Amino acid sequence: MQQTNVDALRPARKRGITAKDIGVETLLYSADEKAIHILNPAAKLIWELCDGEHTVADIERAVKASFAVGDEHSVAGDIQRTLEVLDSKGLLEKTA
Amino acid sequence: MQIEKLDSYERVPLTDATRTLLCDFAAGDPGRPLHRVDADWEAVFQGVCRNGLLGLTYRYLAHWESTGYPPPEFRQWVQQGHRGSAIRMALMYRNIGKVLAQLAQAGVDFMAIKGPVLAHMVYPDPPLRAFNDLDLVVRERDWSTMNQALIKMGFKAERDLPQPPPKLVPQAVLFELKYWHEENKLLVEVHYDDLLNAGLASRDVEGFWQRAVTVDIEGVPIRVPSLEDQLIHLCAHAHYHGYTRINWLSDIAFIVRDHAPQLDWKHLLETVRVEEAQVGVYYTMRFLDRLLGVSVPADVLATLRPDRFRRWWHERYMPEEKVLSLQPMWRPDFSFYFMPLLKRLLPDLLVMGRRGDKLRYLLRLLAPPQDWLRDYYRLGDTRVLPLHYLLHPLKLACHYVVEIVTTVLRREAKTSTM
Repeated sequence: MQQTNVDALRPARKRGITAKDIGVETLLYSADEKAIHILNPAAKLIWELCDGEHTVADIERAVKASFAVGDEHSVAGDIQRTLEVLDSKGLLEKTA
Repeated sequence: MQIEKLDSYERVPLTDATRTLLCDFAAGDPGRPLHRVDADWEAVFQGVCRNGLLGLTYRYLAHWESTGYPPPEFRQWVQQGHRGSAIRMALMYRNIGKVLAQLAQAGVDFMAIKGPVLAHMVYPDPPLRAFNDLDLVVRERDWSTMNQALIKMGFKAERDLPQPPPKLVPQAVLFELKYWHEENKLLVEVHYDDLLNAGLASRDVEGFWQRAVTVDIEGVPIRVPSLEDQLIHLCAHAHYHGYTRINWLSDIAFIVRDHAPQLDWKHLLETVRVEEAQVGVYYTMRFLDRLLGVSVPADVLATLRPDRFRRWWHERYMPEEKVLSLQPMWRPDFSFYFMPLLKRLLPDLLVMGRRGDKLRYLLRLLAPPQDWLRDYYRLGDTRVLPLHYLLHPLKLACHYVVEIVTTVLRREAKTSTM
């Protein structure tokens, strides 16, 4: 994922990934991959907003509104890292 | 907390407090307050796991936020157990999704039953109902089509049968064949025309297929028995297994309580009448009421009630008090087969339905078809067949006598050591 104009990016979930709620956490898996991924509630929110419509800036606002985050904490950095992990696991569509 | 056993087929001793709480969780009704009892919560947790109740208990505890009862450690064990179970189920769904899609693509005519069907059709949320295998029903005539399709997918059959075994009478069907996929660790059980664990093909097999409905499982539209037929099947199945796991009653509770408007009791009673399945359905509904507090309409129960003779024998073989105690108990196999005599044949003939079909089977057993006799005694040489026709009834009689004598001697030895 490129560092420039990150806020304007609109990350999108890869098709064919199944998401299942298991209480507090959410499982992600696809029929073709062996791995199963477990998301905590914050990562789940980020994943849900990766719909190709919301920008990273939108996601940041949503995370701040949904979770108690201290001012000193870098939400943007956490979101960036989460998106990189999702991308490295092949869960996101490749961005142009 | 280490889980000792998940989804067990055996009862273990338990206290009244544990029994009470397991019934509360199994009822699947979060609105119902939990009984206040002095329980050994570790034993309750193990009971929850053995009885396949992790999902329902998790849901129950999530509904009743922490007030100190049940204790926080129990909540934590259930939360962790449910998390593990949900991950296991996700892996299972991924695998069964592929199998169902490939079978549908191959044009195999099948119905799915039990675990995943109940999870999607009956429970409010699929992860609440865990299961260990995929159960499919095919018509006996589609035996080889299904067999080939599964082998092609990499499954290995538990018995390498080139074709179904020879029959004594047309209603005698192979009950099930198991297939194991080593890489995916998936067990598929294929059931044939005995849809109600009766030991004989159902009388109106086509009726079950005609009433079947379609449900979406993992994105694949799959045929499943109608809700009424599933209810009959679940009652027969729970009765056959002697109510060793309470989540089987939970399945029935969800159908009876939460899907009541969709249930056509008249239809159900008619199928039960045709299949003479009253005993299994009646006792399961009765125990459902007494254990989980979920009742069927009184007139339905009255119509299902077997005659006094069957009820008397049922009470001898499966005393209600012992069933309801949830304690370990001896039980007969209520599914027809000619052996063993005392644990299976006799209890089945005395208690269960379709005595006419069963007597015809037993008469044919005295003079069986050639291919059946050859298969049963594994005879390669057909010249010895006439001799086996003479010896076969005598062998059966001897077998029964030996079984009776052994049982009597064992009982006497047991009495003298007490």
